[in-house]
Amino acid sequence: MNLARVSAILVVIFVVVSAWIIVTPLTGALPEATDHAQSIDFLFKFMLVASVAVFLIVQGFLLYFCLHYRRRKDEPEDALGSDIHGNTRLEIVWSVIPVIFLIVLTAMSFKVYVDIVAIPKQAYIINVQASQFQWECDHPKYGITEVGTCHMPLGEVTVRLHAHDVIHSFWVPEFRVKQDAVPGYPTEMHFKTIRVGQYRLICAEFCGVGHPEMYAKLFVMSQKDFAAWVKQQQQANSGSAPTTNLSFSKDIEPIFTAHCAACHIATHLANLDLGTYQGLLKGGNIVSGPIIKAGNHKGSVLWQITGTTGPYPGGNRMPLGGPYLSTAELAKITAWIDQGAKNN
Amino acid sequence: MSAGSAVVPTHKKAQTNTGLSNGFLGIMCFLTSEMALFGSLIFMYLYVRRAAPVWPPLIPGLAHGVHQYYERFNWPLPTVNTVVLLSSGVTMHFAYQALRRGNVRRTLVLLVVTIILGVAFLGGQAYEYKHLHDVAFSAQTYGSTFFLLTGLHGAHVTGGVIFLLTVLIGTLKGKFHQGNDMVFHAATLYWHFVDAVWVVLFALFYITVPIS
Amino acid sequence: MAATALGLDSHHDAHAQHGSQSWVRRHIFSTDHKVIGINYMITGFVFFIIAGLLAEAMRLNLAQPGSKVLAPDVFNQFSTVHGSAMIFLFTIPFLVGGFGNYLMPLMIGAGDVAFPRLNLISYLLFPPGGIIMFAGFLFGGAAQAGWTSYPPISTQTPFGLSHDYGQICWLLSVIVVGVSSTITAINFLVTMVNMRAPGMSWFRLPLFVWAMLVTVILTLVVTPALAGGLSVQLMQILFGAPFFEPSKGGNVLLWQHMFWFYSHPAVYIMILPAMGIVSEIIPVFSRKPIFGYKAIAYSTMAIGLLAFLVWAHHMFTSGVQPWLEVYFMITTMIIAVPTGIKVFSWVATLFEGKLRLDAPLLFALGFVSTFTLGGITGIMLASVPVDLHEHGTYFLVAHLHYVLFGGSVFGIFSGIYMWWPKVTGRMLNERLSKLHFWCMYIFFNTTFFPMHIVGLLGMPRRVADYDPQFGIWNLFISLSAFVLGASFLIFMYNAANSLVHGEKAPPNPWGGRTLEWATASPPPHGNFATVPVITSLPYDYTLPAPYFGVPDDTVHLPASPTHE
Repeated sequence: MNLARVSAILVVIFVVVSAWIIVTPLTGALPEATDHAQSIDFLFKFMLVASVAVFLIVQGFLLYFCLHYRRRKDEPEDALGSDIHGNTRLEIVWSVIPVIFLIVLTAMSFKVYVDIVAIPKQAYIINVQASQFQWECDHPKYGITEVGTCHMPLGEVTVRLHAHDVIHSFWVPEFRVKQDAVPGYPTEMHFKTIRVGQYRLICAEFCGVGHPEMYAKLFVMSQKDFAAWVKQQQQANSGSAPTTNLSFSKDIEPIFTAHCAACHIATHLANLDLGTYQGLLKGGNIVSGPIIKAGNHKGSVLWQITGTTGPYPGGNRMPLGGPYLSTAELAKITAWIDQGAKNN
Repeated sequence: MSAGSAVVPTHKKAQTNTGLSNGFLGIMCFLTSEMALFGSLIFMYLYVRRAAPVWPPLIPGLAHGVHQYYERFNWPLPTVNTVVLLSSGVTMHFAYQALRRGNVRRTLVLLVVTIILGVAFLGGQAYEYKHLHDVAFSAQTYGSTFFLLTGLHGAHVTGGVIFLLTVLIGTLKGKFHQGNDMVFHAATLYWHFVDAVWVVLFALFYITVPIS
Repeated sequence: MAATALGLDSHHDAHAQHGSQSWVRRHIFSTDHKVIGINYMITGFVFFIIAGLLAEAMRLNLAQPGSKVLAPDVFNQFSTVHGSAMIFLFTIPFLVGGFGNYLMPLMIGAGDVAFPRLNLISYLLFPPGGIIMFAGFLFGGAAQAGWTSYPPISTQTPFGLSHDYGQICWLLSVIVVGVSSTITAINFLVTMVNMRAPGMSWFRLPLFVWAMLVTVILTLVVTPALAGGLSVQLMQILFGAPFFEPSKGGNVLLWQHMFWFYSHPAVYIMILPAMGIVSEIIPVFSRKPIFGYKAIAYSTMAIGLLAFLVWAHHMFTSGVQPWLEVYFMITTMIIAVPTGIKVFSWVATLFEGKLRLDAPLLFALGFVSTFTLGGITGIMLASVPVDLHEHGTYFLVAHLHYVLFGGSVFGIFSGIYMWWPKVTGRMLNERLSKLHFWCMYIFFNTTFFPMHIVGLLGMPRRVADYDPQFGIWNLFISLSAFVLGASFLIFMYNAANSLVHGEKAPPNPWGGRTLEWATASPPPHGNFATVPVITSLPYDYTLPAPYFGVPDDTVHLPASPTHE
């Protein structure tokens, strides 16, 4: 058993294990449900193969040297090993090769990462509010809110994350990506779902005693099925949605009092007074003129500046720094403006 | 002492690898750790300032018409206070020099002046704190950061004054003198450190806050 | 006897009074670095056992899904205190306060550290600091926000309590042991810079001393930064100062930056001394010099420097800016290089050695084996895309245990077995020692390797319960963990037996070539009767003993190992 023989054995083991890694789909246990999952799995397999090589080299030679160079019983007690202090060439080789490997790995990772953070031109937007201990998913496009479940269509999706209380983390193992939901600091993730199915949305950041139970059922549906689901939700909600015959004093003023008073009732920052209806007509410094346009919510600064999608007049969504208005509140503002924005 | 000679502290001379005494190296290490402490809190302040959507942050629920903050810090007091503290650094430097030259009387006079100036600084800080009406510690981070950093600095000045008093007593008793000046040197270095931190805090809190 | 030749010397007048000093003065309030070192090790070991028992309780709860052995908040408290105690109350004190105190002055030929009384103060802060952390259990519950203590969960008062006394205790405890650590760092740094024996230039330092040098520089700079963060969190909890409260101008991510700026270098504080120990053991048990001494020394310095630049790799999913994440990915990948150089050098040292496969070497090689695996998973985590899947899961739990247990704890035990004769003057039973090694190595791997898999499959961390699909894995892990825990009993029995009945140890049972072996077992006060003069590199086996060079040859110590 000499060095050459041992090296040969290690190479054989490496080839066999690597082949098995490359060939075996990881998808058996955990299907790849997004485009990112595919690139991440590839990267992971690459690293796994390299890890096998490194581990075999280190462990293999370690074991071999232990067995081959151990002092035998018949050798003297004070027998010495060879007086070797180093080998410059070998040391350079084993420094340079890892550097090259790591550069390659970093470049590959960088490429995948750029794809992950890239903002898609068109994506279906879901607002996710994480709290102790549930997931609430808002569909701003349809005005639907679901708690404990999350439905999304196949294709590009953007998840906007908010946390009410402590840090949570949105993780679906089949998606291979996660993102923290941080109080006071909205975050976003983008991915393209490629596989229909039911998955589990898991909280991956410790959030208290309910952390282990903080799950939601996540459904990726084909466009057709998703549209059907949306229709079904809207029909179910229409009866309960309180957006008919809204009153300024009963429905809208409380919203201002709850969320805007510190800056726009107690003081009039940016010259805006939300304490009176006249204040809405007078407007403030950011955009001159009234902040409401009767019957036209999309043209109203009030709607633009509090809504979930930008761009925001003045550059900042209101209330400044969050927490932002809930879907129900936004729905009320939308409906009230469309109903004429009356001072009733 | 010749003017151009290298300033090697003449402390108890053991044979050390560097030629510098253990005590001198020790105090330098200690000051490094103190710089790290203040450094992390200054980082904290800069981070909070940068990350806040509005600086200074708004106080939720404040009554209508009340200015959000103390009418910008009164320039005269902190500036005078800074001059006082920096002057105490100068007097401390010369006090130490006097000790090394063996002029004990001069040392004592300058040391006493340093202590008085240090206490005056603390008095000035206390006065300012008392008159900061709208800058609360717990209402928003502007107050929290201000009081934490200047408060910690004040605590260090207080500790420094106590250290100086100890050194004063030691010099009066004849314990610290030309041949045994390590502790005095340590106190001087500490005092300079406290000055340096104040210069940074002054720049960060008084000079660079936007006047809203 | 050799001990007499090097015995109590007249340089230290204080020690002449020793006969009349009480046991407490001599063993608890001594300023002798060796006594202080032993005290650190004993106290640290007590915390190790307690923290280990907490982990066993957690594994009991995790053995089956749906188990209610521990209430959820109790589980969270155990998980928090287990991690915090292992890091702050065992690994760091044992390696730095324990081994550092005991060995470093000996290895550089000094009589003690630069400030012995300050050294005692450092130690005296340690037990109370540790007890404060556990005191939380008495005040309605210990801290339960994880050892990372992220706000807002850490600043939230737990349900049913009026104040989070547990968290306050945790913060105070870590501040106190942090102060203790910082004082030690100052002491050690001055000692190593200023009190080396004549002729011991930087590149004649034993590698353990190099490790300590970089470790204490890291400690000196980052521990106060942690103290800053801890104080800020304390201000918020006690006085409502809203540093981490977004609605009042605070920022949640701020804590993560302040915490990890300390805690990443902290992991190097925990691994460098262990690596230093391994660098000492492998040459001795191979009977040849370490391979690549300078490379290892430079790698140690490089790791120390890079340690400051990588912290946000713990925050890849936090919402940090993408360009910043790329920067941290790059620096984290770089730090793998000096680490790899060390691993290869250790293995190469075995080449053409005359290996004595005794317990110290077995543990040192166990370290190389498990730490390499931990380093490999570390590289995987360094890649941001892969980390996005693996962060916050059991994959990370596996990684951290491979580097902290497989690394630091194996390193600690290899050091215990190596220097036990020197410190206690007795030998351990070699067969029991080997049995301990094999149990620990095998069951360590069976406990922690499967965690990689369940993590990848979807089990998050810090959970008292999990999806039933992971049931069989967790059962296997828990059973392994129980056996792993039980294996420490072998060591404890061996240790107790050795202290009472163990064979007396010669000055140099292993044939080492560093200065601690050039004095008695255990060394007397003052360590060396005459100041050694260093004339060669460490690990020089071409020299007949005495090692390095002593001014005269009146002291004759055995050249070869006399113990089988």
